[in-house]
Amino acid sequence: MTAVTTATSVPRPRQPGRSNRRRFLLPLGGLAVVAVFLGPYIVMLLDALRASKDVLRTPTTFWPRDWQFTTFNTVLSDTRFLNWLKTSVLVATTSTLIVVLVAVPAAYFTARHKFPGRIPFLFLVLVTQMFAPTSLVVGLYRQFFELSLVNTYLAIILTNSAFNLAFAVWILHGFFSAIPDEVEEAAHLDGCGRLGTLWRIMLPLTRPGLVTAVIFTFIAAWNEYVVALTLMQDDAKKPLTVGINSYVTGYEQNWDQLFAAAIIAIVPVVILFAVIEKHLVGGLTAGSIK
Amino acid sequence: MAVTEAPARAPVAKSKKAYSNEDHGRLAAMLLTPTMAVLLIVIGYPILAAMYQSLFTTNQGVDESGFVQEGEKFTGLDNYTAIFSGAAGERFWNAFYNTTFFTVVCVVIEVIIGVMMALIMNKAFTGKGLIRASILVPWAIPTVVSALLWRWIFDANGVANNIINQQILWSTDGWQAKAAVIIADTWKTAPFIGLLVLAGLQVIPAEVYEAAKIDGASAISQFRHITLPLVKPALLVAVLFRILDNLRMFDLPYVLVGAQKPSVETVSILAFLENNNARFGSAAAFAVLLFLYIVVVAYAFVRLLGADVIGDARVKTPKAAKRRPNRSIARGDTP
Repeated sequence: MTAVTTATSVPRPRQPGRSNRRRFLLPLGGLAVVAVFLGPYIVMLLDALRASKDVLRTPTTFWPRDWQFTTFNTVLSDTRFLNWLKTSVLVATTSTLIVVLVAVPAAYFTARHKFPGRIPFLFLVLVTQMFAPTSLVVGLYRQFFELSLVNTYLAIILTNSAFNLAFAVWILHGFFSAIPDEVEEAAHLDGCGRLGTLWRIMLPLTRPGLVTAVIFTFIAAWNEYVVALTLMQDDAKKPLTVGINSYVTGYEQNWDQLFAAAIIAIVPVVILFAVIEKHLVGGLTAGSIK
Repeated sequence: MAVTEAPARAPVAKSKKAYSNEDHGRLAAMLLTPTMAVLLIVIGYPILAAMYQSLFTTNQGVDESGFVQEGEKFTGLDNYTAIFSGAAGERFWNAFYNTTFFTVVCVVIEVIIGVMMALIMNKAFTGKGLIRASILVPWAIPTVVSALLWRWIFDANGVANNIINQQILWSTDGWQAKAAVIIADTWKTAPFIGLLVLAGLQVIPAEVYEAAKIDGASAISQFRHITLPLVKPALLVAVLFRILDNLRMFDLPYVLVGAQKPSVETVSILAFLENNNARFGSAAAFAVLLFLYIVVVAYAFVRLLGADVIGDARVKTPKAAKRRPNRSIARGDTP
């Protein structure tokens, strides 16, 4: 039956048939992508909702035998968890702010001024992304120990900022480079100062790049583990990534609580994304020069 | 249009004639110093410290008078020669091979899936917002947690075996452990590439596609001649950072499969294990070797794809994009 319909549809004008197919295929394809990428996440959710006694029972079943909705409450009323959450929010937010404030001027300058040291500068920035963090940590610890910054928020905020600066500089550099020189020249002619141009013309134009840099930095800082593990020994000041591991140790295995905590830990990231996602869309460059 | 010719070498481009040289230098110092300061202070010192450390060996055993030896002694390049000799050498080369293998395979798969995701997300259709948010989720999960999650999924009695109805021991040594790491890494970081490419796609004006459509270019030739050249800078930066990240891969194989599993052991894991055994000199030597390898790879990448990565190709690409669809009209007409 289907073969017949496709055969007959060939002589028909292509346009309507194609757009019809597209209307179905795109959401379907999107749905498939969602299924694949959310699948493991659903496994996690189901395990968080499974009765604690069933979590480690074999053979495993996909659907919980007994539902247990209290696990989320247990986690959320745990003061340790709330402390970790607070640290993560503080560290990720501050690091992101620092990265944006520091990276934007550097990226702007390297993109708009073709000075001789430009490529060495970009490569030097990149070099900081080439050393295994697990080994960097030894030197970081010594350094922050000398500065008596071990166990402080400042230490992990600084480290996270430094770790993500390279990516922010590179990606913003790409976006600044993509803006035609004429735009900036027009702003100069209109009497816009250099910082005024950056603030009023260039930043709005590179908003997708800026949003990308913010999301990436926030997520990377949110997920940082190795450095926080070494530099934060005070349990109350640990970030989520480090703290969350104490749900599953050699002594107790609360997988359901671990998964519930992991799910809650994603919420701030999703909120951030929902708030700034619209700026990712809609490059304004489209109409800026004619 | 001064930018079209030899961008890297030309010290003075035309837009700068408004400012004096001195002014220019001060501006450079003002805008570049914060970045340099943060990087040098936070990361520069630890890198140099590790390089210095790699020349020392922790004292072990007892001295002639029977005291336990403490402290470290300078041993030059001994840590390096030890890495390459005998069984340790075989272990290193295996880890080196794994590191390279994971990087190549993961990056290729992630680019293909990531670009596909970006293209889907870029189209207007119902539920687009949901898809955007949901592909972000894997990436927002801390690597340690996602490694734990996948260990859980790939458990002998876990969901993966349940679904494919097989009894595969994923976390035992062998091809299946490699596959598990690749699947988990792709799941986690394809969205990274997807989102970056999406941001790149946003900057392409819709008129370019309309023009191509009027010219009769097919979807495939539109992708090849318009989309790809225009998102290439964003894509290449994404690939570059994925390569740097994957070459340093540590927590995923370590948590998902475990230590002492030759099939997933990476150079970073070797360095970590040496650190754990308080052999800091040897650990630093591993890290420095990996560092040199990454420097070479990154340098080659930037050199080979230079203009595109640095962003100098911007003036050339739109022209090429405009020119090429015309040539492919004949091909574009056949559906």
